[in-house]
Amino acid sequence: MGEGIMRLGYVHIRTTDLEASRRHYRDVMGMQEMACHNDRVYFKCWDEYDHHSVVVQQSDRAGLEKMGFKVHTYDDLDALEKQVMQHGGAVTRFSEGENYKVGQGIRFEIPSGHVMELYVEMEQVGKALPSLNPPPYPEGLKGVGAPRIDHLLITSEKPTETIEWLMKALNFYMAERVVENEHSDKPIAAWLFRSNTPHDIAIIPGPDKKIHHFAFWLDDWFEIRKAGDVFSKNDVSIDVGPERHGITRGQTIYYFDPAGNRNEVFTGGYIAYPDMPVVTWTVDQLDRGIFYFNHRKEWIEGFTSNVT
Amino acid sequence: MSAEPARREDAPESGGEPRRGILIGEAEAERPVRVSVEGEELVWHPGESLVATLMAQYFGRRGRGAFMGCREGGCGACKLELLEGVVAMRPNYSKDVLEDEERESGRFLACRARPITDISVRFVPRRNVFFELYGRRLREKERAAVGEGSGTQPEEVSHG
Repeated sequence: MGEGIMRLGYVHIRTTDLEASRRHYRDVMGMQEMACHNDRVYFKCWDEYDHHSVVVQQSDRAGLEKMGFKVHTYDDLDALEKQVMQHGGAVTRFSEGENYKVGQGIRFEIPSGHVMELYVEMEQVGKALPSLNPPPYPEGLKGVGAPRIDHLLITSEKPTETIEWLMKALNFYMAERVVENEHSDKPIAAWLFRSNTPHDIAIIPGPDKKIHHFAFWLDDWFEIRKAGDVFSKNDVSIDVGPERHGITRGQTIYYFDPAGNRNEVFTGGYIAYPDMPVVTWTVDQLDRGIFYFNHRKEWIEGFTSNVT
Repeated sequence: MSAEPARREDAPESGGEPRRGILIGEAEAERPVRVSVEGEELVWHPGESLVATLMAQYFGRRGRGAFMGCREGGCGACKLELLEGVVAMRPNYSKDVLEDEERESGRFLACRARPITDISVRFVPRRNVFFELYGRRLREKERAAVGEGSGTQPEEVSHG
């Protein structure tokens, strides 16, 4: 096994109103529209150099169509394919171009029913900045001007099984977990990583195949405030925030796209390494774990139950 | 409460308004109408969605929490059962949370709906898998903090 999965590459979501979603991701989030083919639009953020990181597809329902993780090498892809099969996953190979601008790769369902793709190459188009003597940010960013996507959080009816499968079959590392009490070792929610952030993917209990949110990175807390201004100005439906997470130590606003898919703007946290001791939260401290400033404890129920 | 099935726009009632029906489209009443929900009387105003009416006059009042939901037709948190009256619902909602069959039985999403007539509605209870696992432990902690007993069972989420 080489270095395995590198990062979350793309989130492919469904919308019930493609034009409204296009305005949201382009004009509110400030993403660059890269292509539009029939029922789907491809976007990338300004600090990303691969062709796209978000695909929005017209459908009669909201939710996650699939997620793509980028892998270091084709040897890694072969090794991961074997591991997925060893752990009971039914793998389909896809060829170059089957996903627009994406090279060959593998597709499979994880135990929660979510479709995941692994690939090695996507056409590189470069950042919105030169790679020689660049300024810190490009001119003319619209709205929030998010530099990149960061992670996604999915729900699973058997979260422990899904968490353990992702760690065994795909070599995800665990940054943080939720357990029933301090004597339990059984994770019922977890924040997993392959990059150096506290999570590239997280899993909480909920219906199979559903997405709780996917997140955009912002550089700091002041950018979170600015994003809140942009959301209110544009009548974007805000869910919770600005807030602080106990889990991951991130800072956040949650909000919804025009199909009701939850997005997050996220900053902070810490650098995660594979050898870090796992951080554990007990269920009785979960209100602080989810929203550290929420002393009124009024948000958790609706926040966790609403998914697409 | 009417026992009639909900009507679709392709099955209009001949001769006057149906007593209970969910139309698909962008229509709305031309003047304020009464909204009866869970024993309370609200007033819907032209130009606003029904969930906006609920957020302005029902949620966050008299001990009820604030409304949590996407307001974009995706999550189903604002799902209502129509008891009386006629509403029009915009078509851009997720069929994952409201299949055609369920809509035809009289349920609709408040965030995508505007009333055509006075209406009477009630909330539809929803399952929360997260709270089925975590809810008891969280509530035990809260009850212990105020000196009450514990051991309650997790229950369905209800806005009622």
